[in-house]
Amino acid sequence: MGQISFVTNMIMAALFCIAIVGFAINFGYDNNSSVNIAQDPDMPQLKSDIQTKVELFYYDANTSSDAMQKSTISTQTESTEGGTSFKVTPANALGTAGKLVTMGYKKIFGSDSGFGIFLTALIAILGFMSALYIWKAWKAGGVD
Amino acid sequence: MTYLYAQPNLTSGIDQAIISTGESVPAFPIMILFFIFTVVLLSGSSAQRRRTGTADIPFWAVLAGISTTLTALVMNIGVGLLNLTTMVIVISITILCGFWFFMSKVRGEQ
Repeated sequence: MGQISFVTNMIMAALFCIAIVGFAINFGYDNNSSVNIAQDPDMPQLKSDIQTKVELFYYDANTSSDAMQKSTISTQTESTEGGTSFKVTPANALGTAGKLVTMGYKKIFGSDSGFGIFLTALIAILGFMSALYIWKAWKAGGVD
Repeated sequence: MTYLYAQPNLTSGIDQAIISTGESVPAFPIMILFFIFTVVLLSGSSAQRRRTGTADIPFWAVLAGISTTLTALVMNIGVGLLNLTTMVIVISITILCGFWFFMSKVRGEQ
């Protein structure tokens, strides 16, 4: 299992956990259940902790993606400075995709919905994968 | 005739009969959940193995976990069937099955 698939699987497992716990809690609230897992202190805490981790991954992925786009290969004896194209295309593509997804999300779910965590994780995974693929294509590194 | 447990009152409806049985035999609701989990897991995986030759056990485990969770959520609306500990264990098993499912996928596998 490569790094991209590993991180993607971890994020999907985290989102699955958030979805299950969130659904169970809100199902209990909506139906006035006699037993709600929100009465257990560990389950809402687990959801909150994992949600924080996913949001942190979003900011870390953005930071690493920016650093990857802004980096260059310095001029060598038989080569010119490289990396210019990587500064432009991924940033524009990700920005366009982000605007499109955000617009669609706002029209469907509203501006302040709990579903935002899924969009956050999706954009973070896109940024993370873009950064790693740039690294692989440019530096011929060992990422998968 | 002496019974080992109090007989449920069947005139109050089937739900009250199940609740009465659960109060007399506390393992009864848990056995129902275990039965649902096992039926979905074994029947689904065996049917997939018969049709495709291989069985995706983690997929059927997470599907069985979700089925059990939904059943447990409905059972929690009323009083007396499931307690909080059982509910949290069901949710935890579902989360663990989901983790197993996502981590069992290798590159290129759907």
